[in-house]
Amino acid sequence: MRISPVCADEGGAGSVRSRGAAIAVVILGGAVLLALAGPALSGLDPLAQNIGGANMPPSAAHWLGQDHLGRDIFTRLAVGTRLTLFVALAATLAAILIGAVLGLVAIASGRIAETLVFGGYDLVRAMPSILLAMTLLVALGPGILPLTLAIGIAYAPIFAHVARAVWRRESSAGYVAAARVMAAPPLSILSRHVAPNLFGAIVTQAAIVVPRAITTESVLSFFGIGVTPGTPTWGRMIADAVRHAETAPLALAMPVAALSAITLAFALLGDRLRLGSDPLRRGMAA
Amino acid sequence: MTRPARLLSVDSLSVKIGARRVVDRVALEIATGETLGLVGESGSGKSMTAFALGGLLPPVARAEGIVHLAGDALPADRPEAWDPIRGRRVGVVFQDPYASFDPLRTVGAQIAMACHLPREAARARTLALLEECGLPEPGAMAGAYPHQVSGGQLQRAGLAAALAQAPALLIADEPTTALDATVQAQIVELLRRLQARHGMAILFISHDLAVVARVADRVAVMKDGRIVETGTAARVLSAPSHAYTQVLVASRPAGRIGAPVRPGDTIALESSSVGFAYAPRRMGAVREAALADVSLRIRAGVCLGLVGESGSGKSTFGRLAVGSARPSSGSLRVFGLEPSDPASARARARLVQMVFQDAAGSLNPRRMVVASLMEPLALHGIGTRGERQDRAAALLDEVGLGTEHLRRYPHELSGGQRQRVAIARSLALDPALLVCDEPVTALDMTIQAQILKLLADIRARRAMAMLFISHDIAAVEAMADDVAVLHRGRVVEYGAASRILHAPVDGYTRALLGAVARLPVRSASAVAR
Repeated sequence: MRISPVCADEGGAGSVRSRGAAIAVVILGGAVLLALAGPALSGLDPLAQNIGGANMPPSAAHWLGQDHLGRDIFTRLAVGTRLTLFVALAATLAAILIGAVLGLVAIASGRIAETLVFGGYDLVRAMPSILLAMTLLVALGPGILPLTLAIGIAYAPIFAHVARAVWRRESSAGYVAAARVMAAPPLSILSRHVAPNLFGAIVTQAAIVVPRAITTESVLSFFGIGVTPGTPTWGRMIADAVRHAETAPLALAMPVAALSAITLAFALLGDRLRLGSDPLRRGMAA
Repeated sequence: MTRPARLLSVDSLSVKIGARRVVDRVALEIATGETLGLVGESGSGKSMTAFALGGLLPPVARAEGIVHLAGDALPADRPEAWDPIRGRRVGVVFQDPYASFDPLRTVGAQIAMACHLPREAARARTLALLEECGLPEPGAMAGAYPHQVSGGQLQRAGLAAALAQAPALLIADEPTTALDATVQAQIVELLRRLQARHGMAILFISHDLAVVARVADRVAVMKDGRIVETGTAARVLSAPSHAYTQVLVASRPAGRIGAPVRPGDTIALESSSVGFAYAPRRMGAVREAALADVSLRIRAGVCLGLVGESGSGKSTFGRLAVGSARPSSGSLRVFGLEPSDPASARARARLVQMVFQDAAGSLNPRRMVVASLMEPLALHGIGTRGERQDRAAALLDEVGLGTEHLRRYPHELSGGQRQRVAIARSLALDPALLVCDEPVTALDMTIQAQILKLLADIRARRAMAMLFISHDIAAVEAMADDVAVLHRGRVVEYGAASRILHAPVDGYTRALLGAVARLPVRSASAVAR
């Protein structure tokens, strides 16, 4: 699997795609760097308030200025990136486990298990993911882990249905027929034939779900039910800054820009990952 | 014999796609009322030649050369020059009639469109054309949608559309390849009749030498974009002068490959009164019987050829033999086991394996050859990882491939190589019975001959029983000791291959054998096999 932005393919669609991947890697690399090193770079406390410095423009001490409570926007953005990325990635992983893995095990276990488990997914899917996550959060209580789990459950049905679609397509493939003639048990067909073909579909789907999970997290935080107040996730920051958009535009613009950039980056990266894992393209890029 | 007037000629026709020259300085001539057979394997450039002569090249192709059609000089690289020609003076019939017709419009409407006549006149002409093309109820045919009629009938309708403007030249690109043998023979007969009546020239393109031998006056053989041999059909097919034509002619299976095997005492497969019906699609619908009352027996080491046309139930029987489906009635035993019984599935898998028609589809595109070959061994816990790898290499060697193929993906192999890998995989568990479902149908003629030879060798070496399923009588003749003829799910004739193929008793078997195109003169002896 090649995920390197530097790839040797030339001409036409290939170079556009690798340029897109390069952009994605630059954005994600920047985000990770910001998340890891940001707070240390500025040396400031993301929670420290300073009413005297409220809504101040950028300065030598505060690179992106200060918000309505005089907190350093750069530091809050860095810490927010850390939290937001963690929640989104962990929630997507949870969604893959709850959706694709559980779904496939249910399919392999027989028709009754499949009906029951997919009935559950349909129930989940029938509700808007934001409302469902809200309901779950009320039941689970606030905090990073309940938030992750709630978003994971809300997005699980997407992966379950992707997995089932791949399973159905693969079940009618000649090599699965051949495997059945070899008396291969369902789990072996699953791991040998379905899973490798599932990878690309899941990665592509994950690239769509990650930014949506970020948005969901932001919306939940915006409404104040995700993380506890004061915790600097992007949604929380946007919620706080909206009321002061005219006096401190950077406090609103920075988390919005971060959200947009990350969404774009995941979309570009997902495309590249999927193509890179496809051996049919082996020899085309090399 | 005085040669009639020259209708079409081209001195040097070339077609390039990108940097590749797919048609290389081809020279052709067709006289009025003559049929020229253009023969070659896939990728030889025969279809591109036809497209160029019909002004039908795809936009990516660039052509060079001047085509002379009854006094007009048409530059091959100017598609607009062909606009008054295409459909009017040159008619075209393609291989797949279902792809040639728009599924959303009736057959009649599409033929009427080709007539370029006022509505009422077009309708009358359509009905006349359909009747002329041997469709007994032209009215019903004209009102039908393409999916409602059989492939043979639709191909007749396609021919009617091509003849709508009484073209001087008919280009037929593999017009019978997608059809069953008996239908194929009818279409060939129809072409000859139409030609006799209208005196048009036909450019008949086919990979199948025997069909070409039936229709063509003259034959041109193409290989790698070039015409390697031209001459009268009788001369080229009975005494080919070019080495490639000799190989092509010799590739046509002629008689049995290898000596008959002495049958063993054990019974590999026995079916008694087996019936199979697909579950009805709708509630209350009648269950369609795919097989009824099929009683066959294969002794160890013997090859049974199962012959029939599409829909005869022959593949269904193959699926029953490997336990992919369960008989609806009767009993089927493979070495005493019930193949569809889950309890004995593992034991069954080591006794009976299968080779499929679509080699590309039967290999996982994401797994290397070595992984595909090791899969059955791993599933049955045979050997350590290292031993399995050695075994995979040995299996490849058995099917005539080298170890350099172990680390290739299926798309990096040719069609013949892929089928060799699939055969190697089916041998991994040392089965005592191999079910081959149309194993060579999707392959080129020369490759077919190689794969049949390989299967015959393997069977002799391993003293393995075989159920060889095919619509191709020549392939069955090459392989089988016994033959069963299936027609609409029933065995209409069953016995020794030598008797059935040379002295059939049943009416359907006779029709099937009569429909099989054979080369007029067997020249196989002239070429080293």
